[in-house]
Amino acid sequence: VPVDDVEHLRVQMAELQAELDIARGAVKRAERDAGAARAELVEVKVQLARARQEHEAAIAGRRRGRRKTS
Amino acid sequence: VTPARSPRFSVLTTVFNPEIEHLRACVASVAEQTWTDYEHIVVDDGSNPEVGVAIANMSHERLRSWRHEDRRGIVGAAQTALSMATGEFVVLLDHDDVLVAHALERVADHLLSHPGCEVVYSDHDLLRADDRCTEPFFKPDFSPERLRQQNYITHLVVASRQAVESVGGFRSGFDGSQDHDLLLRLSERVPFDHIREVLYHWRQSDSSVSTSPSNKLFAFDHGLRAVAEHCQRVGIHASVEEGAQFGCYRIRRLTSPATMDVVIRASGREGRVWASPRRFADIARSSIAGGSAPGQVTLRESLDVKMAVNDVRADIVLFADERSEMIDEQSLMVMVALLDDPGVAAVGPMLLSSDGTVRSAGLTTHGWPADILRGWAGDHPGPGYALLVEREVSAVRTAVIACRAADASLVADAVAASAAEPTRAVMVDAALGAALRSGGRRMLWTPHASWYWFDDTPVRAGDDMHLDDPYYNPNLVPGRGDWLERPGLAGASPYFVDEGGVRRYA
Repeated sequence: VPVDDVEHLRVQMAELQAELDIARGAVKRAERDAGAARAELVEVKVQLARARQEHEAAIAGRRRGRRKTS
Repeated sequence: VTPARSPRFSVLTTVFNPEIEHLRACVASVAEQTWTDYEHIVVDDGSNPEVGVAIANMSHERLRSWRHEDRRGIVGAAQTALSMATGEFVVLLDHDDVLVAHALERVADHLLSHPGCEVVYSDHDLLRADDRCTEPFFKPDFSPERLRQQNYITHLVVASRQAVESVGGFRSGFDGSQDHDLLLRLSERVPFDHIREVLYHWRQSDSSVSTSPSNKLFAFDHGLRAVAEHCQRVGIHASVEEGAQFGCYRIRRLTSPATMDVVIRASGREGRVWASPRRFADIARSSIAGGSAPGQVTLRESLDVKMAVNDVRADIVLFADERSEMIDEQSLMVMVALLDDPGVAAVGPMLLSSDGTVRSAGLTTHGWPADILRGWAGDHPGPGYALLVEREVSAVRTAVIACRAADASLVADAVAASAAEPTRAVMVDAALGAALRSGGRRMLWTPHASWYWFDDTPVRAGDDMHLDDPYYNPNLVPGRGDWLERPGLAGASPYFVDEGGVRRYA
């Protein structure tokens, strides 16, 4: 293919651009998936911190009387 | 209302074929109050006869009951209860819920030490079927923007009877959302006080909104109308729609014509930005021009934001970090519309990281500044639906912030200071929030404007500012924005130790 074939270069450019867009989209999707996993981890960490605190509070007898019996 | 002496309470409860055991627990929790200057009014709204017998058997000296032979609905029963009240303050108590033993005493103390207070609310938690308390909801102090979009107050509410009657009491046609409607009308008249303590146990039951929203769908239709009428009364030009969750409402404000200058601090460094600032400018122009406010957007890119601000001619200034990218094209409209309220100093959007997690949903200054819910999923509703509703915050990140031109210089100083020392940016932003709110104005955060912010700067540890945050809660762990409760306050523990010292699991 002659290097000065402008039309051909344009087509090539468009194809490469499309490929790049697909690759970028894939990167975004992968990043999203990783984000979803990270977010789940963050939430679980909060729940874990909550459970640990309550466990320690219960052991130390610091909990207020919050069990209703009436 | 200034209680010159001990306040007298009228606790109002309406019932219709309740679980007798639940009603008994409710009545007992009032009878056991450490504060004794009260009456408990129970209105039976045409329940089966055995309910009347049960109520008669529960009677104690401070309980007054009334029975409707024909059912009049929640509002009709509440109106009857209110008409029977003789106390200075009314206390709203649902028939299956339970007051903490010192609830009235705590409220009385507050009223005596805060003369002029007319409405006060407390935190609450949920009462499980096994009679253990769980999921405490530690609320912000009075947050009028949030109240418009969600009845975050719910229980416990104590209001001066005079105030309740002066706004028309409970209104027919709002059954199921009559409390939200009443709170909105009261909020138009007086600010509310907040007792930052759980004084109310809200029973989780199958028919409760707290566990089964579909059972009370009609309540949200009435809620929509209550919010729409409230907006009309306070001069907010908007349409009101159902929010993303039951009980949340979306207020779409129509803005007045406004011009906007967008100031982008441009360092010239290679940023990790998906779209160029030029494209951002195009979006900005089209979103303003395509909205209901015929405005004009001028883009100013400069390394020196302080200098750029000197050229500002518009009504509104939006500062945007060069490492940010607008997601929703309505974002500018949403932020401009919120600034229509002269009581609002600045507005910040939902900031997301490139992975779709929350980068900042506002700032809390409880203990020391922290991004609210950083790292949580961007589509998570958040604790107490904090990620679904527009709400007051102590501060927002200056990465993307909209303010009026009069405040632009102050904000530009903060933007410049944050850029100069990124690890201290969170402190600078918190200080800006305090400065902007010092005149009594409010800072708002909105989930309906969203941006990516490509920033992962770690916050420098050790900056302990010990600021109070009226829009967070002292019962939560300081320095975090994730609503983690302080030790011992998270509700049901994994087990409890009975009288015999035996470890038992709930």
